[in-house]
Amino acid sequence: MKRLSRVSGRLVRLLAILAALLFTLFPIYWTAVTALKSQQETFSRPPTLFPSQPTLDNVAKVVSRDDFVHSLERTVEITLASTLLCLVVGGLAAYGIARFAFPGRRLLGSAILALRIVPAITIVLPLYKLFSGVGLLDNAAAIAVVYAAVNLPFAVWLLASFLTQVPLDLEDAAQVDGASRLQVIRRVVLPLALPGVISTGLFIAILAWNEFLIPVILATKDARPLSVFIAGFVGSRSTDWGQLSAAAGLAIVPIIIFAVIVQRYVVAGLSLGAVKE
Amino acid sequence: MGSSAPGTAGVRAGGFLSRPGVRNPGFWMAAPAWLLILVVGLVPIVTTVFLSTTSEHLARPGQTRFVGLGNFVSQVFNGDFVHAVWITVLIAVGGLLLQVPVGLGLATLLARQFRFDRLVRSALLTPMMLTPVAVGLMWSLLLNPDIGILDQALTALGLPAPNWLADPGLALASVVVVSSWQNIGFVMLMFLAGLANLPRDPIEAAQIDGAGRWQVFRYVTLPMLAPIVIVVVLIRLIDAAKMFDLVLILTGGGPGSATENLNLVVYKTAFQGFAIGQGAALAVALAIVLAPLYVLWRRVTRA
Repeated sequence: MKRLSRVSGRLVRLLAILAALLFTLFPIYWTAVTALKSQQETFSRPPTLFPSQPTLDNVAKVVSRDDFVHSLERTVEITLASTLLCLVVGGLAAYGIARFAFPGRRLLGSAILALRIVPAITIVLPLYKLFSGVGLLDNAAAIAVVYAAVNLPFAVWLLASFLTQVPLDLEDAAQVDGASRLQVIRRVVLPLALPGVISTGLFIAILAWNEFLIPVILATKDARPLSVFIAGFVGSRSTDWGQLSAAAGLAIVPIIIFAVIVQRYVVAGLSLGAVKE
Repeated sequence: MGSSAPGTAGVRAGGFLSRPGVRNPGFWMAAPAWLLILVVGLVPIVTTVFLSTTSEHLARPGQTRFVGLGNFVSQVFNGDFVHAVWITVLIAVGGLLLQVPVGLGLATLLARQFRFDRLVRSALLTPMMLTPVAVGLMWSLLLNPDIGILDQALTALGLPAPNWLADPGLALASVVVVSSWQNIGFVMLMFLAGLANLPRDPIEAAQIDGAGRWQVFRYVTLPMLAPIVIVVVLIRLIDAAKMFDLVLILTGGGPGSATENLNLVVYKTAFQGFAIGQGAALAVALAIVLAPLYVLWRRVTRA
């Protein structure tokens, strides 16, 4: 009797996990499948779970669009630029805060916190007015700087927590051996903190890639990234679902790749943060 | 935790370089961060506050005048803002009713090690990382009354197949379900961490006393997880207020304003209605609403 209940318990667990996986992954699967279906098959009743004649037509149509290529380039540029800026500025700040006591240190901490609390639109609204005043609207570089600022609190938090894992003694030892502060950072801290820096960078990059509110307001034409581009697929009278799915799919493929890489760090980082933060 | 380097406190000779701590390398390392925060963070925030006291309107440039608290009175204390608060609360509460039980359930399922457990966990976390705009598109495909697979499945089963996004109540429910789809992974993760950090003694003591598994769970484990539930509630509330991409793509705040949460009402007023001054007032109100939630959040997570 006990054996049976244990087996049935296991079965229930298995079914529950399968159900959760199905619910989670099906929408993604369905979008991918719709992207690969021909126009007619999309409308077929009953709908086919697997395209009977998979076609790359929709994908080709989206990819060959000038504005798609353009927005992809923009997205890559803005993501790279803002992530690098964020890492450098945030890394310096995190190191400075962790290792030194300087005037305004507390204040900086509070300012960083305040930036995190304020909703993005409170910042972007006046930036729209300010930027249009000085002609910075639709400027990819300016937008990248805004991204970097908005993600700075998160970056500093992550980098600071990774920095605490670099033992102070090593740095002191290096300094005793005559290394300057800069050399200490380059030769001792950076190599040890590198995994942390990389994970932070990946995290920030994903946030930048997915950003929508900032560019939808500040990028009016030329600087529009992928997220704004795919948003354009919604709401038209006769939606081309195949292309819509292809566009959505193309936008999330890099993320899924990134996510697979960053998974280990995400779980570790978030779990720690959840309990200790 | 002093705020100036030891031994240099109080020295105020002339000149910037002889001020206490400025020679401190930490000061210069933090300087770029300061610059960024000042220019892109603090200045805009102050500007928003200023804008909120004007009648600035994009379609009427040059006619801006000072209105003091007029925008707050007209925007915040009237229908729009209050309605948005209500919608935000509904979204948050609805989401929590879904995410807490399911998230907790998933966490207990995954707490024990089994084959592929890391793979399963990664898979369940994937929606969290996707572009919310893409998620909105994905689900508008699924929920579409004509070709969406949900309605087709319902019809095949002989059940009613409504137009999910065209009915105010159903649209709200859809927003709740879709945002839950995206965020359950996070809730699960928090409960996983919580479960992993539970002290063993009370649980073992209860088991020794003869309590059954369900009783142990209900009377020992659950109360110990209460702090995590509180944090999740706060985070979901804050997220429901800040939700933007998803709602805009899925419903546009509609039908009408049935799914217009706080962030959306600010955006619509400022950038679809072009009333910058009023939008700024709403943005300030949003920040004021969120601030205590964040403070509470930090208070709870420090404890």
